[in-house]
Amino acid sequence: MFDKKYKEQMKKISPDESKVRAMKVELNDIYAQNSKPSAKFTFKKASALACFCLAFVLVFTMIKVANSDKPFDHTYAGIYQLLREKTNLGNYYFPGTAEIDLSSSDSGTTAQKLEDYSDTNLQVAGVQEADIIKTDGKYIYALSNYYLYIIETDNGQMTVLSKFDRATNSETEEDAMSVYTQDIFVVNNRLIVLKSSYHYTKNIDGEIGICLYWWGNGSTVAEIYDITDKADIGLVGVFEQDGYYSNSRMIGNVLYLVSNYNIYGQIDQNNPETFVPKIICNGETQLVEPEDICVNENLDSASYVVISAYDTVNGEFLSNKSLLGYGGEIYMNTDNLYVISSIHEIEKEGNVYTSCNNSLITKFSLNNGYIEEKASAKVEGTVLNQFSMDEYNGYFRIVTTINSWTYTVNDDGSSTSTGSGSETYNNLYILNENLTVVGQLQNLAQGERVYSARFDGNTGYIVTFRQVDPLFSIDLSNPANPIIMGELKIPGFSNYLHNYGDNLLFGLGRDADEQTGGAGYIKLSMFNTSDKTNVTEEHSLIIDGMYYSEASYNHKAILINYERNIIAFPADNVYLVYSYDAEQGFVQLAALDLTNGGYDWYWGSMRGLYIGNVLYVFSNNVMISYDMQNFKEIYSMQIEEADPSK
Amino acid sequence: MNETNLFDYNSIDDAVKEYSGTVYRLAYIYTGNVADAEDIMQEVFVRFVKRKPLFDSNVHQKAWFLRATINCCKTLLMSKWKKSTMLVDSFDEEGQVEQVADNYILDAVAKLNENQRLVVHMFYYEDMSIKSIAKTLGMLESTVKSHLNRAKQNLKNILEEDDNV
Repeated sequence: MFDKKYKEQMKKISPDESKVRAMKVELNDIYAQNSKPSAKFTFKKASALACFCLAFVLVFTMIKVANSDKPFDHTYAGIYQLLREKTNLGNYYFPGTAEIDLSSSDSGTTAQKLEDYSDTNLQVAGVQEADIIKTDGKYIYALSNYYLYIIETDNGQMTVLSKFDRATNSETEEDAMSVYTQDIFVVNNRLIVLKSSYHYTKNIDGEIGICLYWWGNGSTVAEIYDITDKADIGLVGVFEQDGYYSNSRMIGNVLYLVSNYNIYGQIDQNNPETFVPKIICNGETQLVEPEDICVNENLDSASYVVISAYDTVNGEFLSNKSLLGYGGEIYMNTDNLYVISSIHEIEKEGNVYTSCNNSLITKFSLNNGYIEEKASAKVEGTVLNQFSMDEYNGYFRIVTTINSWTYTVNDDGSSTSTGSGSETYNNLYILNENLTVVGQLQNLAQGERVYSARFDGNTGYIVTFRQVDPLFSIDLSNPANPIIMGELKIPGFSNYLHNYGDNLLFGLGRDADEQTGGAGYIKLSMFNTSDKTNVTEEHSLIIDGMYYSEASYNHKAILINYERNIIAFPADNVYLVYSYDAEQGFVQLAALDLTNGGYDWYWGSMRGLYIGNVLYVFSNNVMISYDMQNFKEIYSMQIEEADPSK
Repeated sequence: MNETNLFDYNSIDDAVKEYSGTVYRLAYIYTGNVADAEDIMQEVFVRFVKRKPLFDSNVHQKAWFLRATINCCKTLLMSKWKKSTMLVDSFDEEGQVEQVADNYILDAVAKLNENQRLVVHMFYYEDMSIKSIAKTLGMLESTVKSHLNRAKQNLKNILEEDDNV
């Protein structure tokens, strides 16, 4: 009945004839403009090539349909059942991996204002990453230990326009809550403040005194502010989702927020709220819908990776997908999101067990904020950080380190290590759009683990280390057959790799003692990659006396731009600025000591950014601006400690 | 490759004749108004002419047009910040709709959410299978079934309320 009537009524809906005729004329014009004489020929060639590729791919791949044939009851009831079956798994998670940053491609900084200014060091151009400091070319938004500052700049002069508490605590009779600002984004006319919110109870325990117990689940909050008037910013939206803040990205005006939500306590079949994450958008609460919950057959922890998309221009919730399982690193480009979940697996052969951590990859397409689950796959090993992954021409490349441990369980129940006990090696996988593995390299650098990786179109660079650092360059132009082109062995290792111009690869890491393998001073390397089969270390610089830099594990701490020829980062309490010269190698432009000779153990994070020819260096105690011609100090602004009266 | 795979002016005319209705109707049920549906139809065919996609079957070609229409709809929706509740009003205001008599079924469908409207249209008008709807929309089949079931439930409620069963 319905279908007949629907068809009847819908048939009458048709486009205006005159509009269709006008459209045809316009289309013919466009076609005429775009056509070149060889169009027909190219088309024939293209289709022939397409056929060949299709045949080639079919021969080498096995099609694996992801999930769609499973007769799974995709309702709250079905999800409850699944969780019930798995609740004895507990809530363990695997240690997070180091956050090594890889810069995005050096397409230059976004110079939308009159002056050229620096952006956060991004992995993928067009995909913004949150950080503790942002600039829009005139104003600086900075998170110190205690405050979020909005600062107006004028050729180095700084004026604080507004200041907000970074952390707030509130207590009532029943409940206490702590809210802490993690990171910010500044995009167009919006300031997005990402916060973690936790509940806690105070317990007075006799002799011990006051203890704080965190309970339940935290939530992740995004506050969206209109910053048209910097001195009086207005809140346009608040989004909250269950789970601890894990990651975020912004593409255009769409904010993608990722959190990990653990299920605690008793779950009640009649109350989905006890086992399904919720989203609160501008005060309205909604539970994640069953069709938005992604189920993976390898579920091994009672938790969700909650992924939401929000429109920050008009404060609207766009979509959510919540993936059952625990999420770790993510890779996002402008089209797709890949979430890595670490799972622990044990293979058994007789009474010999091999245990290792493997990675589940779940691919989502973004569709400008309408997130959809696409495919999933499993690979051996774990990733180091987001730079271990890359998507190019539809293919997903991922480098993992496998630490496997073999043991035998004896008759009396005790276990003994078998053979060499533990094994370490590294794999590179190439997966197609459906996440079917089409090519791989296995057992790279046995006994070593990946210290850094970077992808550059058809080439992949991997650094592994135990004592000597092989820098592998890998040809990825044929996804079915990745080939190691070269292996450069040099002492030390790089924690971070960055493509610098066309034929250079920059590495920041540590030197190493060739005898003991112990890591030494900070080392900068510039590799010549013009001949990928023979990559050489063109120049290197060891920074005497400096061991520690946040840049070795956080890519956002590096300011690097090929066009401006600047490579800057903090080391101990000093902010170092270098340029690179083809003849001389690394040239130190400045070593900026913001403490004036002192040393502060609680220094915290440092960042540098430039607007025009002024470099602003931010630390938790002070922000200083320098003239980039001579690095003379222009202005020094105190960053305040917490107000003792509060 | 045979002649039918060559892209030329005939291909444009054939495609417009064959698919302008399909594209327009899908855009109309999605956006709820004539102006947007016309814009989207335009955009979809411009993409068709610019990208000159190759098809190995009519089914493949239709799927391309449906997919392109949905993508354009979503982009338009993002840029115009429309909310689904506005759709009901659009249906009432558009002159075109007023001319068509007895629109209560379309009005009911208009009250569903985006995904449900899409699935209802593809299932009941375009006669597509759950599998092909899932492929076109990039969803799991179970998700499509879920949307369809909820849509049927909602429609039942809406139509019973309006005493128009």
